Amino acid sequence: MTLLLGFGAVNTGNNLLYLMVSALLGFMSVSGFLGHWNLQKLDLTLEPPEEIYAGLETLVNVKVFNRRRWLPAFLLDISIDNNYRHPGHLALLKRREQQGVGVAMTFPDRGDHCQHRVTVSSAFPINFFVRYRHVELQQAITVFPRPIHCYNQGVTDVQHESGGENALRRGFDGDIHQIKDYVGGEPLKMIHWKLSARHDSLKLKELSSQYQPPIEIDPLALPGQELEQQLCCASYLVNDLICSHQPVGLKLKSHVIAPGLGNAHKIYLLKELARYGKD
Amino acid sequence: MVKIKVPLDILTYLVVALGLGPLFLWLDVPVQVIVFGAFIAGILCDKRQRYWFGSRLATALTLLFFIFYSLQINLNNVVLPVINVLALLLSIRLLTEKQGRHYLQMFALSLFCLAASSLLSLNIAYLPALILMVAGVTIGLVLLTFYQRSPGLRLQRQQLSILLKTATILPVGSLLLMLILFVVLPRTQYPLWNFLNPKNSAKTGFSEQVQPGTFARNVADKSVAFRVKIKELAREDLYWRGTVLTTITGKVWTRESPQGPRRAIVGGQTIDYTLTLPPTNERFLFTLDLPEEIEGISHQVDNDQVFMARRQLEKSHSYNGQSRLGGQLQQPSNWNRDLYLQVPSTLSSRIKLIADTIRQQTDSLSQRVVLLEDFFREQKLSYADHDLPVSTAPIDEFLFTKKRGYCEFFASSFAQLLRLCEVPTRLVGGYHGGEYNNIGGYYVVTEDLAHVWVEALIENRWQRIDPSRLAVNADSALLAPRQQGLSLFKRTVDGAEYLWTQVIINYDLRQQINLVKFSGQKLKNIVPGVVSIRTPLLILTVLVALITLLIWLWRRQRISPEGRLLKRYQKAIIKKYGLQAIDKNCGLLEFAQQLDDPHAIKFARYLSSFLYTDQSLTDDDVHALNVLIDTIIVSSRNNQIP
Repeated sequence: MTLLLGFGAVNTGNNLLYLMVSALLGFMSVSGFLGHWNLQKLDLTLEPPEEIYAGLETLVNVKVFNRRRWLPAFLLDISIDNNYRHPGHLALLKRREQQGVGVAMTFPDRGDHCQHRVTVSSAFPINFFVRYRHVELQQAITVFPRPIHCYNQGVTDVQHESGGENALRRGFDGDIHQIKDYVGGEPLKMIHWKLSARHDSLKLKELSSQYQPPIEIDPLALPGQELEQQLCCASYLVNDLICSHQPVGLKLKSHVIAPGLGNAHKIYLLKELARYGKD
Repeated sequence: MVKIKVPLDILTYLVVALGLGPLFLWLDVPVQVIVFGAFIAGILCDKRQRYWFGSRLATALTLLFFIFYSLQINLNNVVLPVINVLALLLSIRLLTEKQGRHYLQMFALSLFCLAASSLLSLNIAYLPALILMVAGVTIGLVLLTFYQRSPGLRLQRQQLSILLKTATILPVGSLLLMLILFVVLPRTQYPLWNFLNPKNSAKTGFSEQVQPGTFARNVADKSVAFRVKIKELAREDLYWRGTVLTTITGKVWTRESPQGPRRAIVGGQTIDYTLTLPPTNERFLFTLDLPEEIEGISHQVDNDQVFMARRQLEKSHSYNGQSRLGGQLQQPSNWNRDLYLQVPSTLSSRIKLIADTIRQQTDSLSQRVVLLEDFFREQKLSYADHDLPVSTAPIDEFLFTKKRGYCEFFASSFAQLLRLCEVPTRLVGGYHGGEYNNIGGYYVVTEDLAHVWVEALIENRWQRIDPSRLAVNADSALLAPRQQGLSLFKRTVDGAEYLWTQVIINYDLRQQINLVKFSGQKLKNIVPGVVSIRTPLLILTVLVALITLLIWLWRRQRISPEGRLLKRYQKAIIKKYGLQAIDKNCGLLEFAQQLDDPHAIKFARYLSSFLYTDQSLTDDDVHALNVLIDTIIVSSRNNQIP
């Protein structure tokens, strides 16, 4: 359009057309400048979730801080490692403001990923062009082996090996194991009031304990043709067993990690599996 | 919350109105009706979200209108069919459902409409329309970007305010750049498509013929004949020379270009001015009587100081002139005297008798002029522009019967009588008077100030005589209307129009070249006498140094006072202890303790109390810390002394 009007202006010598062409050229320059500045002075940091598994899509939180003193940022699309299919979107980021946005991404391999290419793009101010800015971020993100369902053939019952008791234990946190007569001394909360009402004597609930025997996983003993498949299986077992409150340990080539419970222990085991053979 | 579509729609209708508004009066009447109806209906359709036209019907109508008006286009009629098509396309778009690209089409069509209006009129109203259009389109395009991203987007009022404030950078920046780009964009001397530009219907009170007795009423309007940038002059000096008429046939005075070399001007005071002529489709170049030279326009000059452009003045032009106020043109000896004594044979016996009487009374030409002036006064002639003598002998009727007429009657009768008295005489056509606009510092001369006067050759010099001043009512009828004074409003409006014409309309390749030359000269004049490349280099160096200094100061300002003090302290410590660098992992106090320097420890303790707390440094604190650093510097010097 500007070219057409410019052609008309030169050929007619009409200064009013020159004015319009000048304004349009000025607009092109200013919009280019504004579009360029829209992507400048943006600080990016990645906030990955606690558990990231190879090959599984996950939502990484990208925090964007607008360092600019005067200008807000508009219509920002954020993607990581050239994954433009599901970018995070920020419509407006005020000056000196920080906002987080979830960006879907998939890590193909397990291990520590340190180099990330974050792409910020925007069609602002005019939807004729989309500008891109690539930022290389140095940040270690540990990707765990992808959990693949398998049977626990390579696990070792630590107590059984050491001659420990394998029988069901009484406890206070499991299912009802047995109904007994109340003999006195037991906690009142254990009395089965409903059943006692039907009988002449007080009946007592006897609960089983949720305690599971500790287990050690040897990844190399797990089913699978390759190490990666065995690690995937180990990853599955670690998740599955800890979820069912069974203490899990790892038997690795170089060292052994004692069985334990809890999320922190699970992350510790998964990290060991993620880095296994990558040193 | 505000839906993004709402401000976008408002801006779109504003832009459409700005595009169609300047064209409206030029459109065919049916198109005017359609455009007006479509504008109103479009607003209603958008409000109800129900549209009159589907896309197929809209396309069919577009094609139909396009074909209809395309058939009307020819070399003499290009612009009008085009603007009608543009207006109709825009109307159709108003009545259809609007998606992202449709808004874009409406913006583009509106811009084309405004651009097309410049081919019809060069009015100053274009400027505010353009400014508003640029603002509307640029901000509208930003909103459209958001709309295309998510048509149902709603923004908080504060967010919308931030967006609009940022978007305002676009029109402001574009309009500022427009001023620069307008000056530097390339121009051609003779545009190929000049026929597309506005055709000027010049209404002029000035004529290249004088023919008294043709009309019973002299009608001239107040349209601007030209403007002259010049200092304010006395009323009797405001004679603007256009042409010189030498030959009379019947009652019609015409021009016969005199041959021969240019003649000298004697006496008078030199005065410079710039005259701006609107398009006239004529070749006359007006000058302040008596002109010496003009420049800034391609022209030719005859030896009676009549200036003519080499081409018809189809567009507005400005040129510089130099005249001699009160100067007289000398007549060389070898010339055609008879040409200036020629009179029509149809003159009445009464007129001839008057001339004979005067001629017999004295041989002196100047005395004959005086006697003739006396005769005119005795006749008690009135200056009038209506109820004029209309006959085959208008001069006789004017002098003896009706005794009323305007300048052509006075000048023509006076000139003929002088010629009968054997005084070589000619008529000069032009303008007399003008309103001075002290805001712009120029005279505006209107068409109703067109005037004819006489030049008589006395003592071999052409002298100006204005017989109209001999009218009994000259002061009230001739002079007063020619210098009424403009009201402040009129002066301001006219000043703006003059500026518009001077700066925008008349800007061309010649002015571009002059601007470059002028800039070069100004650059040279900054340091007189230095014309080598050293001057611009020196200026460039100074500019770079200044910019560097400003950036340094700006960056320095960005560092906090604590940061500045720490930097100075580290520099002093490095110097004192001859270190390569300071370990960044080591704490301030820890490092000072490692050095075992009491001043450093004191400084570290003092500064730490501010670094890791919410307290800010006062001027006294900064001073005290600087004193500590000074002490470290002084002690390092003392250590160096053997």
